[in-house]
Amino acid sequence: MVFTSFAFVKFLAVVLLGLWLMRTRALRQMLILVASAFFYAYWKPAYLLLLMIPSLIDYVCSIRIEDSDSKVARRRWLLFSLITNLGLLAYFKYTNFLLDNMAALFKWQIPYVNILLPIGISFYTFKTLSYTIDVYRREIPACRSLWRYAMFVTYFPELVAGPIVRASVFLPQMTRSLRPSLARAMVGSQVVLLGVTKKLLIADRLAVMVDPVFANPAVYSPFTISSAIVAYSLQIYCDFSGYSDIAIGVSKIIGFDLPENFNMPYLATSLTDFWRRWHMTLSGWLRDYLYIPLGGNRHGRLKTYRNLMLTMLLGGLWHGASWNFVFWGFLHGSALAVNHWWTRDRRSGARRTAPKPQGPLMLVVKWAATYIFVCVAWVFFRSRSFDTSLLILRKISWLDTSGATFFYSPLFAVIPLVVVGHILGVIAQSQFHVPGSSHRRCPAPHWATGLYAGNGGRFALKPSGVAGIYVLLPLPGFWGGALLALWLLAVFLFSSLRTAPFIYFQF
Amino acid sequence: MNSSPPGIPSRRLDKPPQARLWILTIIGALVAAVLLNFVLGFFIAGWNYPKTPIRTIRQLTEGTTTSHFLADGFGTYGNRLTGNPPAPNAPIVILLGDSHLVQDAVPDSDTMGAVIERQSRADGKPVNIRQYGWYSTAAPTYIANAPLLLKSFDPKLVVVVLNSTDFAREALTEGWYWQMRINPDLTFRLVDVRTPEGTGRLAQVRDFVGRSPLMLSLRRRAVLIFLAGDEAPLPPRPAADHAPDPIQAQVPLVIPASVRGLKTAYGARLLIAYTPFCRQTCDPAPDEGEARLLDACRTEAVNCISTRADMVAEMQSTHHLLRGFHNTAPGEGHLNRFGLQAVGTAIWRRISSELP
Repeated sequence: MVFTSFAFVKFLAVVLLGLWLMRTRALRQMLILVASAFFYAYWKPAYLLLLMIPSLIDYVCSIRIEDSDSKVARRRWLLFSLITNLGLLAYFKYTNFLLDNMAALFKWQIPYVNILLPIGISFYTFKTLSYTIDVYRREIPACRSLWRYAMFVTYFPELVAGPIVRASVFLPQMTRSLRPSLARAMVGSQVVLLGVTKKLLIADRLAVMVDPVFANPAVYSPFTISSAIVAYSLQIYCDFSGYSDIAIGVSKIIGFDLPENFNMPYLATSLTDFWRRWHMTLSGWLRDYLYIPLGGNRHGRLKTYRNLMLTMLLGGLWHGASWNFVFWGFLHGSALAVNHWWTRDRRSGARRTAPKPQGPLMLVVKWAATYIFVCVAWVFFRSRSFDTSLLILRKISWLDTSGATFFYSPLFAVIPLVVVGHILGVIAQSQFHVPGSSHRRCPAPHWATGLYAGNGGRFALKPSGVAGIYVLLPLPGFWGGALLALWLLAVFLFSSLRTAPFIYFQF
Repeated sequence: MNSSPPGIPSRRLDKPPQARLWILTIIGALVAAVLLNFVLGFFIAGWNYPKTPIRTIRQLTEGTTTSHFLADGFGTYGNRLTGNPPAPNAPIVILLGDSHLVQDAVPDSDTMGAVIERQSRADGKPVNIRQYGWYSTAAPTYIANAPLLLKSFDPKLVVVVLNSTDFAREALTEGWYWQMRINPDLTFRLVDVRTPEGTGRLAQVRDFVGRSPLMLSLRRRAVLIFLAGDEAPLPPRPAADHAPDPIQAQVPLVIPASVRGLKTAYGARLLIAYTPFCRQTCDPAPDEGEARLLDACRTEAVNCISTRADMVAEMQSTHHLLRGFHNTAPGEGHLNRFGLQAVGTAIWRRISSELP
């Protein structure tokens, strides 16, 4: 069930109606659990089992880990959980990749194994892994309620493509009322509308040009291919952040705050900065459960570079079973290592904690270098094969100038839209940044401010570390009405007719 | 009391009454709709209003263009004007086709007819083109209109432009205006499926909608969304429903029946021009439908050409895509000005030899 389908609209309406009618919080949580199971089973009922079995194993393992005082026993239960989760992921996602490579390496005849990749397996595997590891580290208590734990694992807004929510963020919110309110609906629905706009008006429109050009790059001129790469950079951003926005917005309407996943990544002025802004829940996961356990930057420069490279190679492989993704990870790992080397303190060799003040020209140069690098890396991410990637690189290097020049006007209409969106985002960020805190907070519209007082954790609008900045329309009011009408009409009139599946569904 | 938590800017507390704010919201939405209606007027104009002899169509689905038609009862909108002044005493050549002859995605001067007229004048053999396109049609519509077309204009030549969509169900059950039912001996019966003009209240509503570019856009968009939903794969028919499909049996007969019908309708004045779907690349070898069409033409002794060679040459020499526009997928959609130039040139080269 895709978020931008009529089926999902009907499904969500039924869920919200059910939440409205249910009298207790426990019943509402149960309804969300059933709805999440239906949401996943709608795609392929059999794979609901795949979601249930590791959930049960993790549920039991985490309780055993918590209850056990023996370090060896705790480690055994953790290992059992890791092997189960990673084993399933490896089987469903990497079996054919492994067999193909073995066949190529040893010249074996290995038949293709017909395995259908369960949708969202990479996301929910990481989610459950983080839970068990956090319990093992005694950072969170084990969840003793099976159906609450099941609800955490299956929670439908973020089940298939993130944001990757950690139990430490989600489980404490279980105390919320979950009864739909106008305030939450108005904030959440605007975030949903923003996501739908990103997906249908930008990402799907750009896919119209990107897909044929990447499918047949030999036909096109360097200008066309370069514009297709820029278009893809915007497509993948709007597609994935649009999905995240819809997930966050729907969840906000239901009553849970999900973590932000993107923070204007194309404003990054270095690759380190980029990974703090792009797919933040994945990069945070990789940092906390892979990079830091590997040693992080605590054991000298060379080991830091090695750790960065390993983390990014595995991050690349997480995206898909293909050497293109691995190479994409390698490019980012190398660039991050270079970035660390460049920003080290020349005397001590350690990484500078405070950035040197820089002039606007230098910032522009660094921004351009980062964006161009990210775009070149996207070529490997998007292309079907390594050969296609190399052909595209030849074209954009003007080593091969042949081909049809195609000017795609929606790309040049989208760019100002994205620029305006980022300007609004920067203004909002500067206005609502909390001094002395890394958190950004969700500013409530004036009609909702009264909800804060005395309501404790009942409302999703309560500012918290995980709530993001949303530029909300000034509703109700003349300008809010005018902007909302223009926005809705623009989405209806100009969005793509053929909606493509979300790009990150394949991961 | 300021109830904002620390870090959140305080808001003004002397709030206007909620009812007034919601009324202002509705007024704001209406003002926005009026504004958008005004802006869209530069890009959208419907065919049903104003009802003048020269119809101006503006669209932004395939490029952003304005096109003009003389409403004379043929074609979806009428005779697509070429922007060229008519040559006195020059013979008339009629071009017929589906939406590829409506050509509302290119300006008048880039249409197939305009290309042919310019080349004919440059070669000293001027002709006047009348070009008629009907959306979603095939040979039955061209056959049904033949008597009146010949009587009205007495053309020197009639060029029917076909493509592979004309060779399947569009001629039988899916085409608009006219369809055909074919017997095994290639005789056929024309079926009139034209929608009668709306009358009374319905016509008033259509006229009202046609006056507003915004309403027209919303209506068109709703239709497109409905059609896109309609393209979803149908569920498999139940086993009991697997009886032979009588229409499917007629599909292989569409090409020979169309050629025979067109020959009967237009006689020696007929030329059939086949335009292949050259998208991102163009295969120099003829497709199956094209080969069967040329075979049928030989059998019926009808003048036929394929514009494939000219289109391939154009793509190879200039690297131009012949289909698609600046806001569509590259190579998809109707023929663009390069495609129409290539097809028009190929047709003119063939018909110029038939003219004195």
